[in-house]
This record gives sequence, structure tokens and C-alpha cells, in this order.
Amino acid sequence: MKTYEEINEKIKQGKAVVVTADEVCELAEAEGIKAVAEKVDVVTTATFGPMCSSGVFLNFGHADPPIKMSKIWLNNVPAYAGLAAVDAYLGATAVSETEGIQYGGGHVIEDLLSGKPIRLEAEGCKTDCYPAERVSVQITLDSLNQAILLNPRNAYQNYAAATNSSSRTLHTYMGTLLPRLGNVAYSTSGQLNPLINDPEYRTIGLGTKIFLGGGIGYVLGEGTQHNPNQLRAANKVPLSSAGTLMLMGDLKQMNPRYLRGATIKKYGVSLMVGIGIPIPVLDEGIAESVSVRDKDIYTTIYDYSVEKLSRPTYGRVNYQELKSGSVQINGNQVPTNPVSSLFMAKEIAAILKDWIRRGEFFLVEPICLLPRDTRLKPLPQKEDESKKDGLKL
Amino acid sequence: MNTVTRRVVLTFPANLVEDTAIYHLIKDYDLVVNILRAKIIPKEIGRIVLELRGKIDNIKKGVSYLESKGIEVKPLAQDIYLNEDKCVSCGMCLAVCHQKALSLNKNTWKIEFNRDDCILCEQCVSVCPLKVIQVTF
Ligand code: SF4
Ligand code: SF4
Repeated sequence: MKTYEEINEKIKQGKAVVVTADEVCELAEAEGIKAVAEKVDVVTTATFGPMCSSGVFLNFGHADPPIKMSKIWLNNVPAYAGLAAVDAYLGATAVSETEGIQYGGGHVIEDLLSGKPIRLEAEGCKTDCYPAERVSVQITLDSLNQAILLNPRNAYQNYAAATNSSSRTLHTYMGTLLPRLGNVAYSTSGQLNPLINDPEYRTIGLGTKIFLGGGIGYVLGEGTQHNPNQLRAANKVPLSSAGTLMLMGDLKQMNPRYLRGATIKKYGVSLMVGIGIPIPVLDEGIAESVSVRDKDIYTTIYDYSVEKLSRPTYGRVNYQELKSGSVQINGNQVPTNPVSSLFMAKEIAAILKDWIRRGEFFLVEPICLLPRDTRLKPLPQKEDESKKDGLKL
Repeated sequence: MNTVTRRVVLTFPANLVEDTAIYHLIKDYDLVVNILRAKIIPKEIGRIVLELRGKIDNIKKGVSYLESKGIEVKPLAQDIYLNEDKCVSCGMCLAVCHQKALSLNKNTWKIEFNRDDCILCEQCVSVCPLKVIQVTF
């Protein structure tokens, strides 16, 4: 048994043993779970991929004469203005009014972070305290008072894989799905995935300090659509999309290598986000969880050609199979391709490990852990149908 | 007359046999022919990138000959360029590259581009979410 304080003391003295979630598998294989629990203090996990539910809170500073902005565009991309006078929220998937999905919120975030000037246009209603009705200026990340990345849903704990049984090519957020089961697209980094390494949320919650977009960030709690009730295997790892995280961090100290505006063909705009989460090896149970390997992590293949909320499945596969380049469906070998980057995830896990080893990054014990009992609900049925139900009563 | 080099892309229906055409280019038009790339998508199209070296008149005649055989000939004015510094190796382009010119290195998990296997179909260009694959002229 170790405590956060003990681990942080070791980090301070430069004595903490820190390994990535890939490396810990090798150690567990060679020496067993007990050795992992005794020897390892922190395991670094990571993920990098398109995460649509992302965005940034901005405060522009007051204009002279002042304006209460009620409509806001950044490089022609609309931002939410229903806040105080010069506050806005720019969502990653917002689409340019002039360029369509070739440019959007995700790109503005990357451009801001890269130091590029951004055109801010705003309209407001004339009032006694805010006389101006229109403003059009250039802003930069430096000119903003605050730029706080606040992502309502990131770092999915596992994710469903996608295929397409129809006769036409589909363009989805899982990328191109070729006709007649032409490919299987999968997301998440498997054994490197943060929440897969802490399947029962024993160490991750409000306050957990993380690598976010190349800088420091924090977990705020459960993300939207958090679904701890997903079916789980004996090792407690969910068998499809499950838990999620809400994350925040100061954009000003991030690095554009790890936040990338993306245009997914015939689908829309998104933001690729790089996330790294340290997991303290407090006891043997956690040592076992972090040693989970690709071959013991399963996900479900869904048929995206069926336009229903509950889609038919083609069974389960593990990440070792998915990463091998092909999986079997109905007796045929079908090529697989990822849509999130294992290359970048490995890089992030290594960087976070380095930060901790060098004594630059300490662990923060969460104030409260992620909920384990919330249920995922669909949108209520159409109004006329609920009325019908009402009549029956 | 000087010897010149021209690079051309031949596109032909898959049922056309291109071997004899290339033989004639060498034999009848006195050209040095170097096959840079050759790919055939079964039942769809075939595509060959050739480097032709010889007298300019002979190259022109050779190209006319190919066209008379129903082969489309275009100068190779373009190439696929992957900006490796900007690529994040997400893997989305793999789904559309049937030639496997784009592939994942299973040790590093980095995307690699093998120009020799590329048939310039350009499918990957619009699929890449970061627009880091470009057609260069
Ligand atoms: S889709 Fe683009 S960014 Fe992703 S791996 Fe291919 S070239 Fe790289
Ligand atoms: S153009 Fe792109 S998709 Fe087509 S063969 Fe070349 S690399 Fe592959």
C-alpha cells in the first residue's frame, strides 16, 4: 500500500519509479503483479485523437467604447455569446460561415495556440452601459485575458469499432467506411487508454492533474455521456464505449503539436486532443488494472450502415487483433485501421513519464472520484408518441 | 536532335494488355522506357507511370501510338507529398489506400509513405483530417 503523499515525496527526491502503460505490461509479464505493486509508483497512460466535445472559454477584454457582444465570430466561425459582455465559448465543431467544414472551431483553437492573429467580429445591442454595436479587430492568444480549454467529453474509456455492410461508402466520424465490410475502424489506444487502466475509477476524478494539449490540465469529473454501466469483462474493462472525462486547462501554456484542428471528410470539424493521465500504483488491485494488455481488452464492432441508435453488431474483438491489421468477420479477413494515433499516445505517455521522473510534475489526489452508478439515457421519444402514452393512462 | 526525358502517366481500361504497347515503344520508336510505377485495380483501371527517354519527335509519335490504342496519356505533372512533420499518424488515410502505399509501421506506429506503390488516385488527400497529404505539381 502506498499513499499519494509517499509517491509525491519519492518524486521530489527523484526516486519514483515511473513507467508507461506499455512498459508495465512487460514488467507484469516478466515478474508478476506483486512485483509491479512493489516496484512501480506511477504508470502513465495516454490517448490522442479527434474529440468533438471540446472547446475554449475566451475573455477578449473590453472595447472602447464598450460593447456587450451578443453575436461573435472568430475567423468567421461563430462562438457562443450568451455570457457576460466579452466572454465567449468556442466549440471545436463550430463551422466557418464562409468556408464550411474546411475550417472551424478546432482550427481556430489550433491557430490561436500557434500564435496566429484571429479576426474577431462581434455585434451587440446598444445599451446605456454598452454603447457600441459592432466591433472588428485582430486578437491573439496573448491579447486575451483568459483562454481556458474546457472539454465536456474527452478520453472515452474504450470505444466501439465501426464497419459498414451496405453497398455504398460511408463518411463518418470514424473516417471512411468502405462498402461490403471493406474495413473496420477503431479508436482508443487500447492498453495505453487512461480509463481502461483504471476501469473502476479508483484514482481519477475531480482534481486529477494531467497532461492536456502539451501543458497541464485537470479532470473536472465525469464527462457528458459517462456510462459506467456498460457491460464489462471479468477484468472489469468495459466491452464498448463507457466512462468519459470532462477536462480543463489553461490554453496559454499548451503546445499546438497536441491540439490539432481536424476536418473529417463529409462529416465536420473536430479537434484532435492529446491527453496523458498518471495512475498511482497504490495497491495490488491497481497494479493488476494497469497491467491489462491489448489481448484482454475487447470492444464491439458495430454496423454503421444501419441508421438507428442501436445498431447491429459483428461481435467482439480484442485490441491485439485490431492492431494486427485485420480481423475476422463472418469468416473473412477484414482490414482494420485506427482513427486515433497510437504514435502520439506513446509519445505523450513518454513525456509525462519524463516530467514526473524529473520532479516537474506531482500527483494530485482527486477530491471526489468519477460516479460509478449513472445511467446513459437516449433522447425522450417524439412528443406525439408520449401524448399517446398519456392518453392510455 | 537532343535526347530528352519525359514522365507520363498511362491510364487504361483493365482489359487492355499494356505489355505489347511498351514493347512497341521500345522497338518501333527507339525509346528507353523505364517503368516507375505500375498498378492495376482488377476489373477497374490500370495505371502506369513511365519515364520515356529518346528524341522528342519519337516521344511524340510514341505517345500518339499509345493513344491510338485507347490508352490515356498525361504528363506526370503531379505527385503525392506527405508532410511527415505535420502528420500525426492517426491512420484515417489507411482506409482508402488500397495500394498500401500508406502503411503503419508496427514498431513505431508511425505512418509511412512508399511512393513506389502510389498510383496517384488521390483518395487519401481529402480523407486526411489534417490536410497533410498534398498533390504537388
Ligand atoms: S490521415 Fe493524415 S494525419 Fe492521419 S495518418 Fe494519414 S496522413 Fe497522417
Ligand atoms: S494517392 Fe494516396 S490513396 Fe492513392 S495510392 Fe497514393 S497514397 Fe494511396
